[in-house]
Amino acid sequence: MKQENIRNFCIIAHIDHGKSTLADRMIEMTNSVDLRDMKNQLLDSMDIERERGITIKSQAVSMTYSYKGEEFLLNLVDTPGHVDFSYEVSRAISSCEGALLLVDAAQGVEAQTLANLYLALEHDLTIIPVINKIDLPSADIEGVKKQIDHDLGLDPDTAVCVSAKAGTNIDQILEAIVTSIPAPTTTEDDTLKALIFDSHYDPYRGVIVHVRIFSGSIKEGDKLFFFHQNSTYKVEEAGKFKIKLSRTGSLVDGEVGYIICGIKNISDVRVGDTVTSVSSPCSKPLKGFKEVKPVVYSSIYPVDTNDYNELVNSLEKLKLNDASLVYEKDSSAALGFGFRCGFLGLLHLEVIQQRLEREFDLSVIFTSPSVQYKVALKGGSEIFVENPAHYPDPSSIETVFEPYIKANIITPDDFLGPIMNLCLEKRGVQIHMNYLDTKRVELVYEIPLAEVLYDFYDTLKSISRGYASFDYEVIDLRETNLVKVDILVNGEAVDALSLLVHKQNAEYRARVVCKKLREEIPRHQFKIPIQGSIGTKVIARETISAMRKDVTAKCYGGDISRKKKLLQKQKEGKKRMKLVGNVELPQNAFLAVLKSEEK
Amino acid sequence: MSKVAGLYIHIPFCRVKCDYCSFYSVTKFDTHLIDLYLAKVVDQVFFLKDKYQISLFDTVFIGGGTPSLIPPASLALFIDRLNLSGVKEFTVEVNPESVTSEFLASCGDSGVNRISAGVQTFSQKHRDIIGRVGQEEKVLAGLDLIAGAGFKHFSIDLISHLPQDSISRISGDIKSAAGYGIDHMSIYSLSVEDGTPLSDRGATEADEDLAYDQAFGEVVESCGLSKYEISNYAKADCQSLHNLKYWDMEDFVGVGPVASGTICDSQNRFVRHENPADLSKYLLQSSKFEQIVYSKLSRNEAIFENFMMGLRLIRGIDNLLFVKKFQALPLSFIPKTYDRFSEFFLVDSEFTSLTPAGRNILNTILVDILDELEF
Ligand SMILES: Nc1nc2c(ncn2[C@@H]2O[C@H](COP(=O)(O)OP(=O)(O)OP(=O)(O)O)[C@@H](O)[C@H]2O)c(=O)[nH]1
Ligand code: SF4
Ligand SMILES: [Mg+2]
Repeated sequence: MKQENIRNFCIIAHIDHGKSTLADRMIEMTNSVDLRDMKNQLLDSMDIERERGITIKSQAVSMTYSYKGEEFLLNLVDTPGHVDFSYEVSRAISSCEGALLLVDAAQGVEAQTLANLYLALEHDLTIIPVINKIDLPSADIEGVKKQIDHDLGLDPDTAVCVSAKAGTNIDQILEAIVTSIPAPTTTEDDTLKALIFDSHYDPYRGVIVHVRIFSGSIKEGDKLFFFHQNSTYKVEEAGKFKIKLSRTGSLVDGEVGYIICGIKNISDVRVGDTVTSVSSPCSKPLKGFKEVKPVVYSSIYPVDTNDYNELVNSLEKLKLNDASLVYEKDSSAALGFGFRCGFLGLLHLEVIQQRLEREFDLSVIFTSPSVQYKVALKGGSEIFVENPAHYPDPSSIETVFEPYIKANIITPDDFLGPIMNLCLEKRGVQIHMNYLDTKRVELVYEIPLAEVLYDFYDTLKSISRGYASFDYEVIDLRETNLVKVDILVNGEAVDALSLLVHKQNAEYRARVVCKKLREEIPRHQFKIPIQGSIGTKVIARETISAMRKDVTAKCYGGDISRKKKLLQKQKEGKKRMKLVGNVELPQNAFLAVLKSEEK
Repeated sequence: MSKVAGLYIHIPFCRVKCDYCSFYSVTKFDTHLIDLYLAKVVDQVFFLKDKYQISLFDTVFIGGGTPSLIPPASLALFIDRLNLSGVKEFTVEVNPESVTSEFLASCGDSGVNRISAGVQTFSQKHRDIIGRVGQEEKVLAGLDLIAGAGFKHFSIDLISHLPQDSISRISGDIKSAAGYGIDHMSIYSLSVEDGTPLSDRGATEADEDLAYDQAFGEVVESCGLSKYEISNYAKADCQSLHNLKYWDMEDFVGVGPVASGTICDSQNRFVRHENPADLSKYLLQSSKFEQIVYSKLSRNEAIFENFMMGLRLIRGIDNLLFVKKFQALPLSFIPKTYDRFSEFFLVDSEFTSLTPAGRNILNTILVDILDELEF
């Protein structure tokens, strides 16, 4: 394929605006997959993506398309919309020259639409605005065009109006891709420069490295030098992304594809690294990516301590495909041995939890998530703490700093009041407020990250009837008034339930946790007090009354089998519980602590 | 033939179904069906007696359902055909709301020496709440008949922890029952079983209420009855011998739909037989009773059952009986559980039992034992 007939582009949008569905239609239109293999959101290949109907990992696919008698190679990358996975978007963007920016015709421009647009503009991508879901009765094409003009600063006349679901006007998009996205620029320079923009692990073939070639070429047998890693590998296989990997033997300037170099460990490959050739290396690497840093931390414990080794193996396997997952050993008096893990957000945490349970059949407990605090100790030293268990004695603390985010919220002005209240409640500081048009407002707040983790997004959605959207980035650390709340179950502090919270919220949070625990912990045959305390001061209290079931019920000769079955069931249930003192805590009790109070 | 066993006979007929009831019984029947049924039961009694080489049924319990719905003449003929002798305790369960003096006379003439009357509650309001068949006045009249019939032993069943319950309701019931000169009382807490009309109405089981439990326990004691099992009380020497067989895991045979029994064979293996929960299947099987499901309990399963039943008794597991069956003392099989719950166990040379606090967490302890014995 000639260089000028290649188009590298990604699809970016706010969550749920229809990226993966649009990818389906393009794959179909270009006959890139057999009809019988076609299914909805084809590129969402992980079980968890299909189940939740969201994209978590970017997926690349190559399609051939003839336009005016000429064949074009279209390399598409479908990206996730959720803010937790926005690093996936930045990677995709750096491998492309163009982007389809989708806007839901009924929802209009939302917070991630803007955030992703900015990412694309930073990389000088050519942007084709696409108005999707025009089949919806509530679609407001004209209104969205105005937003594209005003909010996005793009030419609304270039917008393509489509229905990805119904397959309307897909040809117009393909045409626009060919005509307005530039072909990858070629350089005279034929020293190899390729960017690793992603990687994944295949149990049979090892690490598959996703590369975009910016100059030079790669062919099988070549010896490559990985800049950051400072190591050399020999290319065993090179090819492109069809629906499956398709071996081509080489990749040339401007192309996007994969290489397999016998790398066993995904951590030996750094996404963002530059690949060059050993024989004639380039002088300096390409600009890489910002390192992805965890946003929240939580500890993972196996419900059954015998499963520890399995948890070790499972996490290693997950890590193979998810370099953003970081963890180290941890232990708890209540829960035994486990791992302290860092996640990109709560969705990421939930995804890992579900994958451990579904794919690895493990029962695990996640402890209450926490952000990372900086603690200045008396005597001048500083430590970072993200685990309540490691929180130093309050008398030794000078000052604590907590991470803040910059939150961008877009909402119809009808909900302005309640949203401003919410932000205030969450200790937010308004930085900026700006009418996008006569009805829609963009709000910029600086809010403690911890506040956003807890309860913010759901509340925002519910008070705006789903209309407000939200995007954030972590900005800095600021002084705060932190306390550690301990949770005592039946008089024993359960270390894995401890929380670090702002003093102002301590009582409320402790009450919610105690109440949740009361709902989740099954009644035992004795009364169980649940308390929240700061130091020795009890700030919240609930009691689980005891049950008598089956204890005083009759049990004669004919009831033996039935009674035994009941106990066996109870035993099975217990396997999913953690014994803390004399109390059996179900997995859900720990999860409940993460969840907000139902409104 | 030297085996001595208990005999339980299920009578699966009821006038109407009580709303809380999850026992197997049918409400469509006539005297002809009852006779047909009793004939089958006689066959099965002999079949099992023969199979297990039983020489003597020293306790017999005819329960239900509602045995008192059997026509008096049929009952007499039935018991006669069973050809029993040497029975120490012969109980018939009756529903006082429908019992007749003829029925009681027939019982007395046939060697029955113990009547167990299912009152559940005297309070009409609460009878309505749980949907118990029969009106209060009829119940009182029936109890008068029984008390007047002069059986050696008389027991009344009550239910505690009803919806909208109060200490005065349960205390009143206990005192009323005691007024009939009974020597035994069973008080079960109401269990709301899935699929019953009571559960469909949204009724739930009560929370623990220590004041309630303590109050009614005291009332029972004040009536001269002592607790000998988690839900049973008796005057001295009036404990139910038949039911003790269940709790001590002694041999017993179960006859009739859903009835089951367990027999320990000469090699100390426990064999269980279970009848189908279906009257027509029961009736239609051949004289080989091919509908019976037999299962051999593994040693650990049998040990577990012994804990499950024996720890219900206030005196606890009879160490001697236990050692005879399993060649070691009970706690030697469950060191881990004992370690964890030692404060709740009481052991002396004769018995292994739980403290009252231990009985309150019996299920928790049993689940641990189940875990430890792993079968
Ligand atoms: N009515 C209508 N629904 C659509 C259209 N396109 C997508 N959808 C629906 O919108 C929902 C989200 O579609 P996806 O394709 O998964 O959206 P996405 O942008 O890939 O979502 P994320 O990857 O999670 O950010 C699905 O229920 C689709 O069926 C459309 O043109 N019309
Ligand atoms: S009389 Fe007894 S067996 Fe019959 S329905 Fe009522 S509770 Fe059930
Ligand atoms: Mg998607």
